[in-house]
Amino acid sequence: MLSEKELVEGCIKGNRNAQRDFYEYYSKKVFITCLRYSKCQDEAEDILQECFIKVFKNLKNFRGDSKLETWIKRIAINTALNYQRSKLYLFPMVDVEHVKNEFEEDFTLSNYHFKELLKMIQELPSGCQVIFNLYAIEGYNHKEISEMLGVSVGTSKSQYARAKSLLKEMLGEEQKVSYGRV
Amino acid sequence: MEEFNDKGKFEKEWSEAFEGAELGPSQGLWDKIESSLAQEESVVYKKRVVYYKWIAAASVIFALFAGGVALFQINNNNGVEQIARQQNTKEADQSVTELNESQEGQFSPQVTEDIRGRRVETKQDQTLLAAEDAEKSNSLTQIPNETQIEEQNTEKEKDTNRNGVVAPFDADNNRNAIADATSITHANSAVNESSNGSLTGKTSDIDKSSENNGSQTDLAAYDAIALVEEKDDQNRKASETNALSTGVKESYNNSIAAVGLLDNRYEALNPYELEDDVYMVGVPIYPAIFTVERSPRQLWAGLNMATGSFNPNINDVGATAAAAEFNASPVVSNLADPRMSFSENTDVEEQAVNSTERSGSSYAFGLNFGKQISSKWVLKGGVQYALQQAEGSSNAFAQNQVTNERTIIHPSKGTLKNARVSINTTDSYDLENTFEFVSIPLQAGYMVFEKNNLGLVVSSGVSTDILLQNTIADTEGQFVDESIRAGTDSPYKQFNFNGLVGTEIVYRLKKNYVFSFEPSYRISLNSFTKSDTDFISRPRTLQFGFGLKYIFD
Repeated sequence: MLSEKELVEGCIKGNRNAQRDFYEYYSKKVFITCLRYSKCQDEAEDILQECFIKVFKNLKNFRGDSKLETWIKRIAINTALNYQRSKLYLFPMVDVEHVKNEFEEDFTLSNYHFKELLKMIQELPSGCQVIFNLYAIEGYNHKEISEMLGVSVGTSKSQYARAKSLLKEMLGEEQKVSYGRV
Repeated sequence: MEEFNDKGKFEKEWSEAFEGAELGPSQGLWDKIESSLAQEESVVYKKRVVYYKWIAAASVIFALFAGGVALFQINNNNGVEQIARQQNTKEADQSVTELNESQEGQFSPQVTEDIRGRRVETKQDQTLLAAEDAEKSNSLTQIPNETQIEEQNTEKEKDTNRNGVVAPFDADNNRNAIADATSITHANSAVNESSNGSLTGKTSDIDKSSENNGSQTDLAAYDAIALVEEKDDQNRKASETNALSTGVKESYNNSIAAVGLLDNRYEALNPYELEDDVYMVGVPIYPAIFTVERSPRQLWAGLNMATGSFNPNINDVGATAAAAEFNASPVVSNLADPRMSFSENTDVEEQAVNSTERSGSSYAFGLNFGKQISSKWVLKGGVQYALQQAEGSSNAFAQNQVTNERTIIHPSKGTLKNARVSINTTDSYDLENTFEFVSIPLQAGYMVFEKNNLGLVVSSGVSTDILLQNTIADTEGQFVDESIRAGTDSPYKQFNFNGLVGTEIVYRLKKNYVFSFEPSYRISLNSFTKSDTDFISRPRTLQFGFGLKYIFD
């Protein structure tokens, strides 16, 4: 097995075998991200395909400031946002200043397999789905999200509040969420 | 108020839920990515080929334009020079006539002798004699060798001592000076003819000492004063001679330019064949006019490389007959590619097989050498290794039923009858047919333009191509690549002949090194395919080459 550095060098040279190995190694990690931002497998694969083409084209520009996996995931997120942008309509909802974190001290998802959680995220409305991913999983704050998507901070917050509410409903239906009880 | 980054347990749980999670996409996704990558690379490559095509086309146009301008200038200069010569001759004649008229009574201009003692009665006769001299001068155009020059110099020194002549000629311009002196002689003879009445009736000649006096190298003093030696009439006074010389000098000052260009037909006339009885008249000399640089017969060798586009230029000559044959077959009822034939034990799906081939790229590098066979003509040759690539597409592949090996169906593979294979159709895929061969070009070139360190050569010739092999591969790597060596298995001829035309812009970097830029076009003189194939191919290549040459001393 080639090292990461050798793989990257091979990919930059256009070595198809190296590119394939590179893809095999990172595609499984990145595909989860693509699935979180899409509604179905086909859509996620389209995003992943476009993402890897961009990765191979721009790999020579990777400076190593962050982990390679993080860099690829960021490209996947940007690709997904571009992919969703056309159909992304974020309702300018009422500004939300406070999102209450009720029962959150004891909140756990340990009883859920990630595929179940993934399915819940995919069932969210597109706008809520994107903002939930960016805020809760990617770790961006609402100001950054508002700049990324060109919406107001309030819209980002309200969409997130809606996503959170919907997810809690879904989790409640599943009866697997532990609120203080294991 | 909640801070933006104040993430709670909820967010933390969701974030951790996907840490380390992996899920693979479907199996075929890599093929799609690979195909897209190949397509993108192909687009980049095509852009590059188009770019090279434009550069090559622009180079050819530029070279042709430059060549045209150079030819025009050369022709134009010749015309202007001829006109100038005619005008100068007329002016000189006119000056002489005026001089004759002014000295009428003293001189008898109608009957004179020319420089070799021939009698010249009229100007018409002078013209005829001049033409005769020109003919003779053609046979005397050789540059005197060193020994001759030394002998001449020795003789000149003697004359110099005898005559006391000071001739301000540069020793380095010996040949030019000789030529000039000859021209001067011609003019002097005409003038002296007009003064025969008062002088001796003898012809004039150039004083040999007017050249190459080692102590006299000041070319700035072009207005040399003649000394006239009177041999037959010792009573003639020096004052008369000086007066005559002064008169002649004044007259010549009016026609100096005319004399300079008067007639370079006498350029190589050896003045030492002339008689000793001379009158020498000094006139200005224009070395530049008579400086004719003779390029040495140079031999060179160098390295060159070229890239460009390659068009296989395929035509289906046997399409109709072959298609009829396929249609008659019970197995193959709908084969669209007439260039392919199959054996009886070949299973073919009843779908149209479509295989095409189009332009691709061309690369070559090798050695070249050449020789300048005259001042304008060069002969050049070399040996090159070349790769020429035709792109194509197909929607079929052959699958060996024993080994399950999948190979591309391509006309260059000929008849598929050595193994039991099934022919399957699939989505159209891109393929490349790469020819490898050794090329031996031989060209003749004409130096259209040569100035300072820059030159332009147009050339044409033939190239013998020796095919080594051709390799068929699909761009996506789905099928096994196949190389077909030249010979009986190949539908292509091992030896093929091409016509070549091109231009070469050369720039001398140093004394012995020359950089060359060479756009060229070549086309096969006959079909590249064997006579028993159902298609003909006359490849065309437009190339854009660079080279570095070493010129041997």
